[in-house]
This record gives sequence, C-alpha cells and structure tokens, in this order.
Amino acid sequence: MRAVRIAALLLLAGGPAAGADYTPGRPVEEHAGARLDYALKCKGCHGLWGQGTPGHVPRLDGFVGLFTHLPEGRDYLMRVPGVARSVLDDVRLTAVLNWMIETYGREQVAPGFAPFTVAEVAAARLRPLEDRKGLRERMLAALRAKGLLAPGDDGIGSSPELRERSGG
Amino acid sequence: MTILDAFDRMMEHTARRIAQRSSRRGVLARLGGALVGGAVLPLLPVDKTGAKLAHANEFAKTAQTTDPTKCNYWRHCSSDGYLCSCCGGTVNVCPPGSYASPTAWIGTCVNPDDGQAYLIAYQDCCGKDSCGMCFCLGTEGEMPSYRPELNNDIIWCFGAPSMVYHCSSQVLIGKA
Repeated sequence: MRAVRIAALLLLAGGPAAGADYTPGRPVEEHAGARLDYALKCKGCHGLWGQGTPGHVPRLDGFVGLFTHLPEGRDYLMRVPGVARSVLDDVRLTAVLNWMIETYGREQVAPGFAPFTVAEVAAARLRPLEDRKGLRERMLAALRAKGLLAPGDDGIGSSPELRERSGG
Repeated sequence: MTILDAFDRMMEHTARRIAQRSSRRGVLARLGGALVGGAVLPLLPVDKTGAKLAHANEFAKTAQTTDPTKCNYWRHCSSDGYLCSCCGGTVNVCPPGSYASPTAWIGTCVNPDDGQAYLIAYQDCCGKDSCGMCFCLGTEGEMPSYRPELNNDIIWCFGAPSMVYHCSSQVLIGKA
C-alpha cells in the first residue's frame, strides 16, 4: 500500500523526467514562442534571469528598459549586433524584443513607449551600427544626466579574470 | 501527521466527491470518449516544434537515459568536448577545482523516455587543465563559428575566473 501511495505521489509530481537543474525541487518550466527563442538565442550570454555576464555581456534585467527614455535608444535596441545579426526572422525577432522589454524592462520603460513593430525592426536591422561603443557610452552618459542610471553603472561591470589580472 | 497521511485523506475526499457526483455509466462514456479522442489527436497535422526538433530527434533515436558517461546519453546531443561526468563532476556540477562558466550555448535535446524536447545549457567548466576523458562531439543544432552564440567549438569560459577549458557540462534549464 505504501508503495502505491508513493507511486501516486510521484505521478502527481510530474513524471520521471529529469528535474530542472537550476531550480531544484521546482517543475521544469515550459518554454514557447518568444520566450523559447530568447532562451535558445540570447540566454546563454545574457543569463538565465537576464543578469548578464559581468565584464562581457550587459545585464538586461532592470537595465534594458532605460534605453527607451532616449530618442536614439529605440533605434539602438533594434540595431545592436546581437539583435540585428540574429538568425531569427523579422517577425520572431520583433516578438523577442517586445518580450524582453516586457520581461526585463517593465520597471524602467518610458511612459508611452510603443511596442516594436515588424516593419521597423526589418528596416533597422539592415543598417549596421558603425560606432556601437561610442553611441552606447553617449547614451549611458545621457541616462546618468537624467538621474536614471547610477554613476558607476555601465550594465556590464567587470569579470573575475579582469580583477585577477589587475591584482584585485 | 505525515505527508502520506495527508495525501491519503485528499485522495479519499476526492474519490468520495467523484462517487457522489457521477454515475458509473457517465464515467465509462467519458473514458471512452477520451480514449477515442486520444487516438485521433496524434493524427492532426500540427507542427509542434519545427525543423530543429527533427534534428534533435535523430540523436534521440539511438540515445539512452541511464549513463551520462557515454556519448549517446540524451543530453549530449550537442556536447562538444570532455564530459564532466567522466572528470569527477556530473551533468550539472563541475569537477572539484574548476569553475562553472556563467556563459553557455543553449541547445535542444529530446529525452527518448518521454519524447519531450528539453533546453540544455552547454556550460563549460573552466580554470583547470583539459580533463581528457570521454571526448564526445554532438552537433545537433550547432552553427559555424561565425555564429558564435550557436557554436560549440568555442571555449565557453567567458566570465569565468579563467579561460582554461576543463570539461563540458549539460545543464537542463527548461522544456521546449
């Protein structure tokens, strides 16, 4: 009888599939649509929770929405290399961009910001950013001037190996 | 009171409610409907996952789910390098003395036990010399290195304390 009860408990728990390694004890989360595309194409570097990779890849969570406060920010988000060069087609890429703003930028997004449209994403990704780094630095300075970004925050931080090299 | 006692009470309560509210014929009719419906549903022309999953299915045809130290273990469908499972670690734990990279490339593998596609993060363990054990080359869904975010020849140690590659782990991060 005990064995039957335990078997029933296991069935309720969702079958024999392996558990989610990053979230022990919680069910394996279903991914579909834009969330699945984000997971397969972006998550490896921008992080499972949009936290980024210190020293290499900017965090999205609590950061990406800030760009919507700047006139050139909307254009930047569609043209930044990871977006413009994606293997996703225009429709799926647009869905990922909107999912990203909704998921990781909800708290920071500018009032009245309109979702990205397929037509504008299709056009923007064909125009490569010529000075990505310079444009990004100018935008971060503008965000700091508006009081939206802390002075020492560039969204990237520094990685452990860089700290090692500099002796700290 | 144990959780099993609580479970017993819940099951009993549920069974009594069903018994009170339904007739046996009704249950049989619905059960019959479910069986017929279940047989018809798989025939419907629904493309659930697209071409990528078709690739992952190829690997799954000969994959097994019991021995992670073999190249045909289901999670290794896109694993390129030494298996951490052979190096003192597991599919999701780096061997002692190495660091889990915060970056990874993410692929899809089908578990042949349930036929379901899962998202696997191919996360390298870094900061220790090459392990040299159990080299496997899975290439499902992989792309050339000019698509670095989808390439597995690259040493995925960006952001780890050291770029020295030790082995590859295969962390399950979700269902596709």
